[in-house]
Amino acid sequence: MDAWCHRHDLARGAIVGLEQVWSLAKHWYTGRADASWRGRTPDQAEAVFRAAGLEGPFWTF
Amino acid sequence: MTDQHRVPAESISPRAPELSPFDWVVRTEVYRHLVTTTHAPSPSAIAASLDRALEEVEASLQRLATQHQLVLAPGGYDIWMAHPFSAIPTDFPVDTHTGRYWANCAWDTLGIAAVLAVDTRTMTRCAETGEPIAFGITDGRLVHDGALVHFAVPARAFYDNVAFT
Repeated sequence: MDAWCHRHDLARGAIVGLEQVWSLAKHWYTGRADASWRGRTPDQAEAVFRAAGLEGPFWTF
Repeated sequence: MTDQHRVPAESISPRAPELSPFDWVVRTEVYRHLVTTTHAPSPSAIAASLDRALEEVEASLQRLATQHQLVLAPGGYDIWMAHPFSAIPTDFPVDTHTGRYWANCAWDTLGIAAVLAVDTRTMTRCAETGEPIAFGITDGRLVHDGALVHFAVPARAFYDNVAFT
């Protein structure tokens, strides 16, 4: 992973296990195709990150 | 194994919503078409389905893109991304009992499972080693082999370069 970051001249970001990504996907995307969907504010999005256990500056808008 | 990947960069409105009821109808039609056919509708198909002028639909698609509800292909009004769906093939196929969808990243592969609420299967490769990675959802549970996901772009930079993000 560090080699990939070096090759693309990028800082290492956040490393997340698939179980946690699945939790994030459910919180983030459930209902996305519904007619009632109206998007999120940054505060609402950060709340979704926290619900999936993702916190800290990387997950802040 | 790792999965260097992109992060969904939509949904968060850059400012207070400025979309009309018609815009939300257009957005709903885009997703309805994607979910039922696995393909994104063309602007003309949306116009025909909603019985509206093509110019009205194109203007609506542009507003939806400005508000990060969709991503349009450069130089036109064709839909590129309606997260978690990609309108073009990617490294993240999502196979279901009704057909193959395309996701924008690992997060979005599982997002498609969440949107559709169906079992899915994805075969991709580690961006660093090329090693095959398989994962999916079976009976609502994640089935995987321990892969990790690298989120390269922090949330605050989601919109800096949507194609990379």
